[in-house]
Amino acid sequence: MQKHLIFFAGFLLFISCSDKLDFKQAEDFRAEPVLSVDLFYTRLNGNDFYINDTIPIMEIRDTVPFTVFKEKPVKDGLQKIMLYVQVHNELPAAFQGKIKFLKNGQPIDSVYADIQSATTNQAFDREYVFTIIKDSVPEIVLTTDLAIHFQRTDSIDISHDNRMLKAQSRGDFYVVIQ
Amino acid sequence: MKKISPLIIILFYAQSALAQFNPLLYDWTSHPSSALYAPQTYTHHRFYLGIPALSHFQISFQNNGFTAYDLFGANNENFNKKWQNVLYNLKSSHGFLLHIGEQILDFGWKNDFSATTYHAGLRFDAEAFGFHPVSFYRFALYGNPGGQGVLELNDINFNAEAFYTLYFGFSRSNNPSFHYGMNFKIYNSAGNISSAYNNGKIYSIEGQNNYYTHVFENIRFDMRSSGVSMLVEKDKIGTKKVNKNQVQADLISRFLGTSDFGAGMDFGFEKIFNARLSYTFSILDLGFIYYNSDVFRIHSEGSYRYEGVHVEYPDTPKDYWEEIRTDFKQSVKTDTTRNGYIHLRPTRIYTSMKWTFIPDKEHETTACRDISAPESKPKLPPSLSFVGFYQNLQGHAYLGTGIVWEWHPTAWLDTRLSYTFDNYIQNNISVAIQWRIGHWYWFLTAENIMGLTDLGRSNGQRIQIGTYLAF
Repeated sequence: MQKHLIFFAGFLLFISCSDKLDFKQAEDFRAEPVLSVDLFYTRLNGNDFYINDTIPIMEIRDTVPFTVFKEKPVKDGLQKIMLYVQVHNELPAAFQGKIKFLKNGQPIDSVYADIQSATTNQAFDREYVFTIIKDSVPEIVLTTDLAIHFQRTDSIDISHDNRMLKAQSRGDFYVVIQ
Repeated sequence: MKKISPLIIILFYAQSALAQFNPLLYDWTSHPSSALYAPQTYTHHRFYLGIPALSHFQISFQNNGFTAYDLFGANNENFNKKWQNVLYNLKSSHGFLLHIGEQILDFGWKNDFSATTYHAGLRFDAEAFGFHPVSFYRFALYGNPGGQGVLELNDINFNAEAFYTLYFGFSRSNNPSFHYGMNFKIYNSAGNISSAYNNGKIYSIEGQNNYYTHVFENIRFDMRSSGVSMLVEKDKIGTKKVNKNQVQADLISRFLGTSDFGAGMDFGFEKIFNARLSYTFSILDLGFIYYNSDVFRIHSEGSYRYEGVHVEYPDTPKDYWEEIRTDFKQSVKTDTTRNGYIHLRPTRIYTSMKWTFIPDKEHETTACRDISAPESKPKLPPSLSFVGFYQNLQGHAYLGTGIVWEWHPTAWLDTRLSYTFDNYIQNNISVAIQWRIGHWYWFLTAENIMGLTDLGRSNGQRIQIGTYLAF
């Protein structure tokens, strides 16, 4: 009987295997997450382009932090950025919008948008979509800040115009994890 | 085609786990270890002594939601399709469990005069469980394209604990139709890390000022640990600066004993209706461990909304990021503390209805079961039990039920066969055998026999082995 017990225990150990697994296929792992994140938004009226409502400023500029690439998987796996900027211009003035990607204050890349003036009856609305391919601009993943510029492209007096130039933006970050 | 050893499979699952539904050892009256599952269990032995460190070793894993084969099956299917299918079907109620138990010392004796059996011992258990944080998996692997997806913080639920239990217990019969038992336990833990009862969601909705509003809604997150922070902060584990010798020394120090003590008890009873029919109930591990050494706790609570940076073109540059961080910290307050905490043991409940197949002639002459004279009955009658099990895994119910057939073909051989269902393993057929050579007993149990034929497709296994002397 003891022989049978030993055989039984041995049988359990013998059958406890699997011959249908292949762990190496994990090397083929590939995920392609898309991270959709708000970046910045702004609200400007006419007198924002004047000092003391009298001296015109042709360009205003500000810098905002860009922290997405502090996340290593995003930095290492980035394929492209789709940058969406929605502009709503109620002012009777035209602008050029510019977004610069900065690394410690130094520009890496930039995108531009021509913003037309509103007509008498209708505000100017447009969504701009910019695609930045990482392979074309490898340094893009070193971006630490965005510089947001609005430059006037005409000289119409809007110093007392309380209507708004609005802009909002988001980034879709296409990442590959392998 | 590859031969994968059972050890590799177990290690694959051994991120975290625990297996507590142990029907083979519950109410196994001829097995001394049964006293830790059914305290009312009366031993047949006048005296028993577990072989130190060899008297009972068990290792188990359980996992539901998917199997190793679902991911790694050598079936020429695209691996990325496979993990996507697994993730599609995975629910946050799916989880994994692991338990390694080692009986270091155990012994017991019977006092016929007082109809009481006593048992005592020291054991070590490393156990852990976790549930799949599916919403986090999906975010990591798919992201939130178009602002879709919700991170559910209550998906985060895990516990890992390694501890010693010093116990003393008894089983007593005040009258022949009812007996009860209790175990008193003192715990000493080497370490713990856990997180449970978290709340809140992180998601995006259409924004008012920007494309989206990223919403952190009613966030409540807790994580606490003992014996972990020194490995991270001092020994730099997980970094290139890790001091391996120090890690080893610190771990050995923790496993030699800490100031993290706890107390607990088990209680159980058996109501014997007649020589054939009896009912048992056991509640186990009603207790706690108080952690006060190397404690690290983190608690976050609050709500926050984010629409991106509001660019204001100020005259003097603003540190927008610092403003956002400050605003977030004020809205979702996070505290880290070193204060001790009480961790409740995951209490288990077993119950069973047992039918013993006593021949009619004996039944007629036996009013109640004779619990004191096994030697006069060298061959015990077979029995069939219906067993139920419940355990609260930090808010998740772990349920099990099934039948256990006990058969004693000879006076020196006991066998048990169970067929059970639980959250992790359906159609779980398990066997246990115990044999003796003179006064030397050996036992071996193997759960989920069908899983052993293909561990890759198995949702769980348990093996228990041990030896002891009994007189």
